[in-house]
Amino acid sequence: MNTTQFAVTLLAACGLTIAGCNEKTESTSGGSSSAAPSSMEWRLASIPEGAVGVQQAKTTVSEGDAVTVRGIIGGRMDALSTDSATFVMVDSKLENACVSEDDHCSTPWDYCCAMPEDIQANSATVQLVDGAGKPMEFDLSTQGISPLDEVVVVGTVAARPTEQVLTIRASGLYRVGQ
Amino acid sequence: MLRQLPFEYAYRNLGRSRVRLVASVLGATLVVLLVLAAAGFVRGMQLTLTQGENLHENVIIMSTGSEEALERSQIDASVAGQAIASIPGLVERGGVVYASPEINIALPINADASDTTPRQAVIRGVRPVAFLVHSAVEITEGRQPRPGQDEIIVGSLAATRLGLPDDRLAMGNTLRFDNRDWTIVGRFRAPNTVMDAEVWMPIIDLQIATKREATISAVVLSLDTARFSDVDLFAKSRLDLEITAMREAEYYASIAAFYRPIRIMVIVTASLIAIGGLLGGLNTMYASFAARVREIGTLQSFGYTRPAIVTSLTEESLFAAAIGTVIGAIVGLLLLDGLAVKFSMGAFALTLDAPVMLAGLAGGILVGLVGAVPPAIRCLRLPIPQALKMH
Repeated sequence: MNTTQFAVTLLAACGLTIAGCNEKTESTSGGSSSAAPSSMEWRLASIPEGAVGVQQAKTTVSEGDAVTVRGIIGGRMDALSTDSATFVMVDSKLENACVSEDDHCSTPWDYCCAMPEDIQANSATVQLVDGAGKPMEFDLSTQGISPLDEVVVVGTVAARPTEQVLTIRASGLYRVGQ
Repeated sequence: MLRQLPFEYAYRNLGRSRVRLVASVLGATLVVLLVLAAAGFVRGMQLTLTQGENLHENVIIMSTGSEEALERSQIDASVAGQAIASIPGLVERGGVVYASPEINIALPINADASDTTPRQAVIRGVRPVAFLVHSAVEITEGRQPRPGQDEIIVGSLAATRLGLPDDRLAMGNTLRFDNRDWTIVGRFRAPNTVMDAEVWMPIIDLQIATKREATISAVVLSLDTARFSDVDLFAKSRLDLEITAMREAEYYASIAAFYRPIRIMVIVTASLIAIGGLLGGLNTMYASFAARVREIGTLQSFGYTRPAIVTSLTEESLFAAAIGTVIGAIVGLLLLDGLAVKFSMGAFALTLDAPVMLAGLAGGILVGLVGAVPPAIRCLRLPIPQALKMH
């Protein structure tokens, strides 16, 4: 038997051992697309007028109302979604001790120093939708929007199962200071 | 000039020293077993913590701040119903929406009233819909437990988790917690998932036993046409419920990352021991070839080239290593595959699948290669006249 035959025999012996073994594959986590939107119509060129704070909006608006609301992105650790253009924002007047010079909080947008009931009373959820009312699915952080940004959104109020829930289906967003 | 030595030359030389042959075969066998054990350990832990494949994409709703441990999560028991009402596009079959409210908790458990050994069980309180949501779970014996009857169902690795013999968790036997005995009415398997080491029981029984009638740990949803962003919006819009949404696969991936240092440590330890085995094999071969310097000189004087002689010596070493490799692979499959190991999340089984077997085989072949080439090259350094004079 020459070297080539020997090599083939050796490989065949190895292959026989492997044959019949179950091949297990790892599951891969699913993930929806976070690709950038094809148009930037959601980004407003100038600051809308007549904006109210989140707290005021929460106590006055009803489902279906057109609203313009101003607030700061934050209120929980995952304030900005990565799979869709959805975020939580907090009234600008709610004090956030996490941004003070003495605080070394790594996630200052979670408002962890504020009372939970204060955060609830001053928070709203915003979901960007397109012209057809369909939720936009992209990561806002790839478009220069970050937690602790002050923003003004224009949209309509979605269903309010309780007075503590305020969800705004926004057609436009303006980042203050852009 | 003759090209190469016949294969029979290498094959016949194996029998010249049976002791050395056994040592070479044993060395390769041990290296293969070591590689299989380490790789099987890492693979089994990795597969268990990535939860394998589920029929549907599952999303977990839990309390904010509990993303690293479901056992710490507490959400209102009404979240399941609110999620079903608010999120269209969940899987629904025969009128049953795939939304599973669950309690995940670690509790001290005893084999019986006289058992004083501290044992910790991972218990999951569920409704029947959980068996649909978690498609990897398959009942292998018995049936689902009924509420109010002190009944439980156990996973195939639950005995390993509890440190009990497997037959102790046979159908009809009992386990003791909350000051009473619970009868095992079924057994299930959920291979390559942490659920395989859990004890499941009706959620209402667990709520009463743990005095948490108003709260649960999580709701697991199976998505059909719904997307993760729909569940995320529900969680973010219901700030009053203080909930967050996370893909089930991502939750277990984050836990897998937590155990990465352990996997690295196992790989490094196994590598160091394998290197020791390789060096031992190298030593054996050095001694073997050093005793044949005169023979090698003779072959050169016959006209065989140095590459041809190195090839023949390598064939010899590879053949012995291949025997050891196959023996190690067979022994590994028989003894190691499926061996259960307990850890903090529950238990997992050593998994010797194709990639692991390939690593083991490669390790054995490497022993043959590394063990032959350096000593062979060293033995060929001597000039032919000097080699012929060696004893």
